[in-house]
This record gives sequence, C-alpha cells and structure tokens, in this order.
Amino acid sequence: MPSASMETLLACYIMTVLILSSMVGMSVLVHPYLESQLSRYSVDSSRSLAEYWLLNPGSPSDWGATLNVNLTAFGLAKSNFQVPFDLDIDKVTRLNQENKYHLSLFEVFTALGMEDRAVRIRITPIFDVDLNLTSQNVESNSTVYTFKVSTKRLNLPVTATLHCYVIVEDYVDAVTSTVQGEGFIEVEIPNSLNGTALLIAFARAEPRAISFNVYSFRHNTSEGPNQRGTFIRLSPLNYTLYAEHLFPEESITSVKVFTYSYNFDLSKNSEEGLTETYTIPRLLEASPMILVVTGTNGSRSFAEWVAYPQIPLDFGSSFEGERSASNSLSCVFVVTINSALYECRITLGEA
Amino acid sequence: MAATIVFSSLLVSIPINELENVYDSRNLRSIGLNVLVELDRDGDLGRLIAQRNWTELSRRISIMLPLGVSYNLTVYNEEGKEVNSLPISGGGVLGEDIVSIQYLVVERTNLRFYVVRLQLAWVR
Repeated sequence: MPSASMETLLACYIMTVLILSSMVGMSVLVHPYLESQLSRYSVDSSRSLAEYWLLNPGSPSDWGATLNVNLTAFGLAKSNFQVPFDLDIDKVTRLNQENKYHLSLFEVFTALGMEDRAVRIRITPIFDVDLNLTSQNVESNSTVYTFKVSTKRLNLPVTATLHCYVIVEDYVDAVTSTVQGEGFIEVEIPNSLNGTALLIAFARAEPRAISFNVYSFRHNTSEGPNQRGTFIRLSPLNYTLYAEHLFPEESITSVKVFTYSYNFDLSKNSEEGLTETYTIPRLLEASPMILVVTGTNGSRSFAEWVAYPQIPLDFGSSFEGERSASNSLSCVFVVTINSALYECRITLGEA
Repeated sequence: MAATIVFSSLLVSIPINELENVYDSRNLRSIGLNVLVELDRDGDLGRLIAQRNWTELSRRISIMLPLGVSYNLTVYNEEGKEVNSLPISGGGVLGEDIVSIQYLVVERTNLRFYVVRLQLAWVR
C-alpha cells in the first residue's frame, strides 16, 4: 500500500476518534444543562406553591377553628391578614398530630391537590432554648434548683431576654434574666410541695423572635417526673383548651396559661364525659402560650403542658434516604403567628 | 472539524453555571424581601434608621436571615445620600453572586423616606 494511502487512513482514523470523543464529552457536559432546563419549571412552581400556601387562607377560610370541616383548598394564612406570611394559630395547630383535632395526612394532601408529590412543613422558633438542671440545694424550708440555659441558633449564641416560670401544683414563681448564648438561673420551690415540677423558659430576641422550652423535673418526691400525655391529653383549638382525662379517678388542681410577660388561671368552660374545656384568652402580646394543667392521680401529683400554637411542627413526608433528600427543594420563610416570628421550612419532593 | 466540535462543546456548557445562579438569586431575593417586610412591621425599620441604631439593625437582620447568607445593608436618604456611618453587614464576605433588593421605608414619626438596599449572597 502506498504511504500516502496509509497517511490518509491514519488521518481519517484520528479524525473519527476525535469526533466521537468530542461528541461523548459534549453530551456529558450538556446533560445537566438539559436537565436544568427541564427542572427549571419544577423549581419555580415549587417555590410559588410554598408561597401560595403561606399567603392564602385556604377553603373554607376558617378551617382551622372549625371542628368538623371539609378542607377543599390548603392554605395557612389568616383569613383577613394585613401583612404577608401572617399565619393562623389554629391552622398551624391542626397540623400537629399530637392535637386531638388534627387533620390527617390524607385530608391535607387531598386539599393540596398534588397527591403525586411529597411535602413537608416545619415551623420552629428561629432559635433554640436548651435547659439543663445542673444542681439542687435542699434548705430547711425550700429547695433551690440551678439550671443552665443556652440560647443558640445552630450552635451560634443568641443574645436573648429570659422570662422563666416554675410551677408545682398551684405554686408559681417567676425569674427574669438576660443571656448571651449561655447563662444560669436559680428557682426556689417550697418543700411543703411535692410532685412533677415544670420550668418554663421564654427567650426573646428582637424583633419578636420568641423561643421557649419546658423542663420537667421531680421535686421532693422519689417518683420521676411524668412524661407528657401520661395523665391528660391537652389539645388547644379556637382559643379553647380541651383537657381529656386518661384516668377517670384523677383530678385537676390548676389550669394556667403562661406567656413571655404574663401568667394567670384559666376558667373552666364545660365538662363532658372525661373532657373538660377551658377558655384561652386572646392576648395581644407577641408570644406563644404555654398551657399547664396540674393535678393528682391518687397520691401522685402530675403536670401536663402544651404550647399554643402547637409548635414545633413537623408535618408531612419524612424525606428520609439520599434519593428523596436530593430530589427535593426546600424553601425558608420567616412567618408570623400571633405577632411572634418563627421559621417555616417547606420541602417539596419531585413529581 | 474535531477542534471546532470540542470548542463548541465548551461554549454550550457555560450556561450551566448561570442557571444555578438564577435559582439561587430567586431564592435569595424572596428571602431578603421577606426579611425586610418583617423588619418593617410596626415601623421598626424606619425607627431604627431614624435613631441611627446600626448595631441593633444589624443584629436583627442577622437573626432573621437563614444561616449561610451573608448580607450588606446600605441606607440612603431622600436625596440619595448614604446615611449609615457604619457598615451594616454580617455573615462573612459576600460571595460572587450578589442579589440586591431595594426597599422604600417610611419613618413614621417625622415622615421621612429612606431607601434601603440589601445585598445578599450565599456563603460558599
């Protein structure tokens, strides 16, 4: 074969290899671009959907406060909101599965109108309050408890003003302090009382970002503090507290509401079977409410509590697993419930 | 011909990065506007500007923005002059892709107008 033909054949071979390799390379490079084009609409629509749920009251517009309701369109906004992202306290509360009158996942997903997509709604305070009992000093007439309080946002310290309450049976004491990420508070409880005690801590960081935590501990008794929901199931809704007795022989000593600045007794509204109802006042203060019920079951003293709005809220799909986590879009919003600020994170899975 | 194809493949791949930035920008713009609206509720934003309380303003923005977002805020008066004597910023150095949001604020006591420009970027 002449050398010219060999050279031509070699050149053709090299050209073919180069063209094929460049085509493969290009397709690899262009693939994510094409994928992005396809998912662009999906990303935009996901964010718009999340905003829509926070800016619309849904249908019927008072579905949060109405006990027997047929939810046809989902939305968490107040009925007549004045500012954007102002959420309804009862709509948020009814998503919490601990509430007796919660809406089922099926009801909500049907109202969302998109059964083929996974949705998760989380509403939490903007920062966390951690409480830890560090020491207790028994004196002649009382016991002094020292708690370490941490106010943090993902381990970053947050400067906040603390308003704490300690409650045992009908006894209430209040403590105020300021912490810069970490601090200590002391509370004193008379030794004449005994049973489950609660330390309720509200922490406020401007503007209107309020976080809370409740620490349950035993006082002057050998029995440990009762777990939440052991004796009474508490469900707040439409400014009414439903207290359902889980044991018929137990009796209620006191029912109180605590906010950042105030605490007072709730008045009994009605009693039907094992369920008692109490009226919750409509307070203007920018603060969540902690509703506390104390009582006795035989010789044992207990304390049960619930937050209103019932947060932290984690509703919907879990998005567990690498695939579902990677095929999802998360949108963060600052929302208002009863004038206090919270963080709302809505995660949507791919269709 | 092969060189042309290789070169064109590089050109085609350039918009991929731009697309990612478009998504980030939309997200940041929405977050920034959400934060400014919440800050301005009850006239707090205008009041803090009138008081020239830049430290408190910075602290409030820091607590409301999600972690991982850096910001820089500039306040202009009605004549377009910069009002803040100190830099109002946080979250580290702004990244490459910065979103700028302009927001008109009314200080309710003396009825003064200010323009607030909030620049946001994801920390990378």
